[in-house]
Amino acid sequence: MILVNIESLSLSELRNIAEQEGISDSDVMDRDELVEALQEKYEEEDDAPDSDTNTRYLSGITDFRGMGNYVEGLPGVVDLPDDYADTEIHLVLRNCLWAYCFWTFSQKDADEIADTGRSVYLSVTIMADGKTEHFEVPAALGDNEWNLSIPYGNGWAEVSLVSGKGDERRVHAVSKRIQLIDPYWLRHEDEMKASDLLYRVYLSLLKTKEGAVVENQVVEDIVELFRKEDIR
Amino acid sequence: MNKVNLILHAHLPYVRHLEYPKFLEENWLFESLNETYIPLLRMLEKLDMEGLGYHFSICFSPTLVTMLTDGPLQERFIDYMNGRIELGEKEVERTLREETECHDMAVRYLEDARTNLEMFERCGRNILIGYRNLADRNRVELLTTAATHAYLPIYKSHPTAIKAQVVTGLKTHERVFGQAAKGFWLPECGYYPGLDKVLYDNGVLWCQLASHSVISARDKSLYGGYKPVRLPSGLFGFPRDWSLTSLIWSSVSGYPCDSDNRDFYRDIGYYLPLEYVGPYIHEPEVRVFTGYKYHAVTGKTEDKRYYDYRKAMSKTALHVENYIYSIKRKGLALETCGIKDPIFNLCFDAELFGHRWYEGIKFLDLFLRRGMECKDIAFTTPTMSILDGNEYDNLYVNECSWGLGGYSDTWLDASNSWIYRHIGKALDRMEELTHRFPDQGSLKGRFLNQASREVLLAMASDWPCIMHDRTSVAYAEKRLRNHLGSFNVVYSSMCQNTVNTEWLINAERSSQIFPDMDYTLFDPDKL
Repeated sequence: MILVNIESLSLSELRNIAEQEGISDSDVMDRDELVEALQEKYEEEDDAPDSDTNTRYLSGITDFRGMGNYVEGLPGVVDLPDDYADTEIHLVLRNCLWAYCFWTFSQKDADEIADTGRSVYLSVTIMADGKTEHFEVPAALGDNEWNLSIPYGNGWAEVSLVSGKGDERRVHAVSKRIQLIDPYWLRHEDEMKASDLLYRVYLSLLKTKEGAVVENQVVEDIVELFRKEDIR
Repeated sequence: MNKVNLILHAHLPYVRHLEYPKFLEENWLFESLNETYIPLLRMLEKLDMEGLGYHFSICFSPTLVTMLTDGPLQERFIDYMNGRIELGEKEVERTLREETECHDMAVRYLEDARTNLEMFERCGRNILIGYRNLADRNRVELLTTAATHAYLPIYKSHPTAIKAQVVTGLKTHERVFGQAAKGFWLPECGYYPGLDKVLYDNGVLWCQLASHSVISARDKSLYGGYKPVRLPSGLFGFPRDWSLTSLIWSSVSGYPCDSDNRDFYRDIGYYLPLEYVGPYIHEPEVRVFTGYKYHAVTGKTEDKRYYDYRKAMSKTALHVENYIYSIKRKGLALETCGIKDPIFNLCFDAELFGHRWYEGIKFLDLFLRRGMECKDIAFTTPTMSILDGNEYDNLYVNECSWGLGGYSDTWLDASNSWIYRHIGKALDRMEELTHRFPDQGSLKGRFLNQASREVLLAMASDWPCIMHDRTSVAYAEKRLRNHLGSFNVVYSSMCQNTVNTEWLINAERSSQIFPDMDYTLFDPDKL
């Protein structure tokens, strides 16, 4: 939402927007009151992105201008089903240390699990650098998504949708495997010191004029490792 | 010699609502045409006519080229421009009486609008012809991207969908420009291991990569991103130089943020009386941008200064000098590290220049002119870099993008993750349809091709991006539901072995995209 920019709008602009948003008494409010009312209206979050000339689609700020209902009635708009008939599970890499998992139980499977008092688990398998780990994450029958922590490494992760009672387990669906992120420099920290020049070349691609490095967990971890080496 | 690959990416989602007399989101196209695509072409043609031998790369996405070559949308753009010119004429008069500080800019906007409209008509309303001519003269390298700009890493478990996005994108480019694209802009710089092979197998020579792709790769790089990266399939990758692009791109300290630049947000559409701007905003009385903006960035304050064009242009010239200095300085620093003739890949969204950053076109103009005067700077294209050079890194690049945190968090967060279960199911069902109905011609073939179009349009990265940015969320969500709903119409009908002919004719009429669509691209047996 383009709310940070609201602070730079003029009084008449703010009044126009407030009026469109149905804020009462907007015609008698002063600038600060209007800003506050609008911010409250849109429940601005502290971490909301700054207004940014690089943000796309600014010319169609329909929601911000209270135009959210404008596209009502487009032909072909239908409700999507809450769930589909199949039991299945999917795993998607979200970033270098997290994967997003979502699943569906068919009505038949869901009924059977409920009727037999079984519990639902996500059975996660991670194979990294020749070692395999398994762990179980309990889930509720009504859940349908989860974020899973994953490590760096040469290998993969997969997740199975499982139900069970006691020690007995039944696998309902298995996701496709996702490949883990495996950065060279996180497994060759011994080379760091010897590659000082190369390391500086790497960072020169990523640094802003303020000295900030591009926002990325792997880069942060590499920089941290290098600093440790520096101290030694 | 410092080699500079300046690569712009022009993309807009497919928005075409002829069922409405005017549709707000169609302005994305019209504003970009008037403020970026046409002025950029004017600038590049002028340089060419002056005999300046620049090299420059630009990607026009398949959805954008479809809209730019669409007759009814071209007609609507004429209407939009006529409205803009009419308002400009009023503004020229108004600013003689009030806000006289704005008069010169009102005149400038009006003249630019008239010139742009003339050029549009001169190109036969298809500005892509102008860009193609520049490509024929070896000034511009034209590249393409995924059919609907899908963020590909999220769909890697659906190889048929990846293939359909890639092949349809390439086919659209060839149909429109008459030549195969050698370069492929990865939507959102989204790369995953294996994507290179899909591109390479389909005749692509290169793609751009996120800036952290090199330091985070599985192999050790020798050139740190300053030479092309040869990916396992043989495809070349060109890592974006964040240190140089951020001098422009940074929303905090980039050149566009300069306080003397024109402010993007303050527009007469929002502050002049409704009775005056009424005919030029959205009915009924919904205030939108008109393009007439007279204030400078100034700062985060209500009291914006009036924009001073000459001052801003002087500042732009200084920014260009600073940029060239930064490139040269960086080249010298790299030479001391043993890297000679570095290649700097400067990748930007095209719409930043002119549309969001008013001075951006002038910046590019001066940058190309001044750069060509410098003995130690050469503008190249990635294809030229590949043909000219024999130095490159062999790298296995991990999954990455230019999004938040460098991975998929922008397109996969709490606001938009729900869409993937629906799109994934549609993709599964599309594959199922290719098996159940192979080699269908005539009506069923058209029905299945329409299903393919709908699922491709649902995959566009724009919808989850809008949900993440919280800009036009309702529109994005409805578009997504619309496409998936349409896909479901085909799926349910085909499950009953019937074709809803009336629906098909309407659907084909409303989304006139990918006329050479081939639903068998989704056949897993034909991968």
